[in-house]
Amino acid sequence: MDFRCRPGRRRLAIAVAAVVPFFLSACYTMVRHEASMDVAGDASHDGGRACADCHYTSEWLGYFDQPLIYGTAGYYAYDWWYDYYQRPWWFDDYWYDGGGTSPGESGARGTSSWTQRRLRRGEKPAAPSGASGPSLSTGGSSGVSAGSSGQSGSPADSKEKEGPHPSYGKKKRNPRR
Amino acid sequence: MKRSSGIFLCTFLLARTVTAAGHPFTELEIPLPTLTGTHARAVGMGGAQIAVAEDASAMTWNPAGLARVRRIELEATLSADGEKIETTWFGSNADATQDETQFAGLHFLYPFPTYRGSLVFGFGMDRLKNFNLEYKRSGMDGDVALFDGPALLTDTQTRTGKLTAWSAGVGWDVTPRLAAGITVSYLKGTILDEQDFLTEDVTGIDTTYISVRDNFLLDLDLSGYSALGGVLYQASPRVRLGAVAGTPRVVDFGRFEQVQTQDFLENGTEEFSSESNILVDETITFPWFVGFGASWSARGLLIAGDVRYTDWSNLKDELGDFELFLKPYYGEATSVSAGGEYLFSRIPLRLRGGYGYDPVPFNLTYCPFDECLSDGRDPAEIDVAVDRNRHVFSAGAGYLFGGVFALDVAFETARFERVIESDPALYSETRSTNRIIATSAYRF
Repeated sequence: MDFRCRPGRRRLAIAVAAVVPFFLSACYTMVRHEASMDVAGDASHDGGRACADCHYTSEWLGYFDQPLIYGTAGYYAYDWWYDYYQRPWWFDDYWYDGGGTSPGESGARGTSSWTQRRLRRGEKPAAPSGASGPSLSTGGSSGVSAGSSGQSGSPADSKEKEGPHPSYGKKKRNPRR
Repeated sequence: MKRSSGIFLCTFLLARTVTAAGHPFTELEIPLPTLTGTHARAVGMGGAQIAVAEDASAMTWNPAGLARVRRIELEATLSADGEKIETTWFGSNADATQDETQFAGLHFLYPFPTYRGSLVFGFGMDRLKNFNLEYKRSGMDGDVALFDGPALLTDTQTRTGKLTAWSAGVGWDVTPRLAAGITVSYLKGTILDEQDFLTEDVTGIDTTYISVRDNFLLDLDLSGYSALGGVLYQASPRVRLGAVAGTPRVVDFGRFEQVQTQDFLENGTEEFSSESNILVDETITFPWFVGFGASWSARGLLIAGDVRYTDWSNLKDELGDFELFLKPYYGEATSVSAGGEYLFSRIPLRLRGGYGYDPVPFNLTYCPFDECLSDGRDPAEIDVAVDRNRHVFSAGAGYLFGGVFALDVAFETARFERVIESDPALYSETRSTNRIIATSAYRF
């Protein structure tokens, strides 16, 4: 059996072998929260502080309002398109109903029906232009940790508490601002 | 014997006429199933989408853009296409027009709930190519071998068919600023072509024949596959960079051909008639392509530009046991597109416009069949100077209803002329297309 490769295919194989591991090993996307979520309940830690430390330094804080990552600046600036382009559907419970145990799960005040969501989304969002999700309104911890605390705010709450967007490249913000 | 050979060559000719407009100078031109133009926003921006696409269109422009989708999306596209082809054919003008409204695309996107980053799956279909064509033309050829003199040629062609891509894609965040994506497509389509070619001895120069009629019927079953990979990098809040690479698209043509030939003699009888059914497979491999794009956005304004490069000389066409030597007839093509979009602040309306320069990769040529089968001719012998420039202009608008339903429409007009500069009367062709496309998307 001849196992020799043609030069073209060999180059292709090398290219694939070089590129694929990069995309896999550097995979940043997480569909499950790490076990460190329990840290919030650990008596040896200030729960919020522990989450904030991790999330701020990892640059992925602000999952929902990160203008650097999500959406073009133009769309980010207008309320009309903010919900359409920016807000993850699995966080509707947090945004409209004020909390849940985790993203995508039923909130403390019940889960929005699709109809309710549609009607609400059809209104001009109560959140200010570019406001972060309710998770951030609780003082800077990540959406996950804030959601688990059950203190997620409504859009109106966010409007009162939110300041301007974090500037690009400013990885660490003051979580207590 | 000579006649049999002629039948084979005519059959072989049909292979090209099915894929082209039927002119002797475009017999070797293969319709190129582009991956563009199935989304109104993309069309409206001139196709400058590599660093922009963040909806279902990302599946065809840059799958990495899928990672920017945050809501479940159902999207459908309707397209009204009009095409006009004007050619000179042996000194006579001939026109072909085609208008059709068709369902152009349907997509479903599902962003998987994530705690960090993004993972979005997409499924859909795109109508890549419409082969419909009706053509009738006639002209005097001053030197027809059969008559050893001039003859009136009449060519009637009717063709129907479509090429559809069924695609699945995924986009995900590799780092906070870098997203990647892949789309894999299965191509499926059909072509049914009937061509009637009549050669008449109108000058009475031949003492044997009055006319010869060749009728070709071709039934093609197309199937193939392709893949597109891309990355999208957010260089700054306002600047995005994107890159895509398309793998070779391999399309198999299961061919059934029926050829009927009738010779009508001066004495009113048929001297020769024949019918042959041929079943042969053809495989066309479209080459790699790469593209790069950049976008810049400020409050209310988005500007984007793309560059795509394809070395069409790597196109491969295998017909049965033969491989056509196409390299001399196809060249490199670098297309450029630019577009802009403006968002209104008081109403959820956006306007856009774009321009594209998309050169035609095929060099006009007339290729004797035996020279196309293998080694081919020296490219230096092909000295037909051709203007291959194709220009595309587009404009469009979009409106968001109720915060959940987006409707985008676009108008696109494209035109190019191909002329043998040394002898425009020998061949010239003008193709113009006008298109209205509408895309509706609902985000749950």
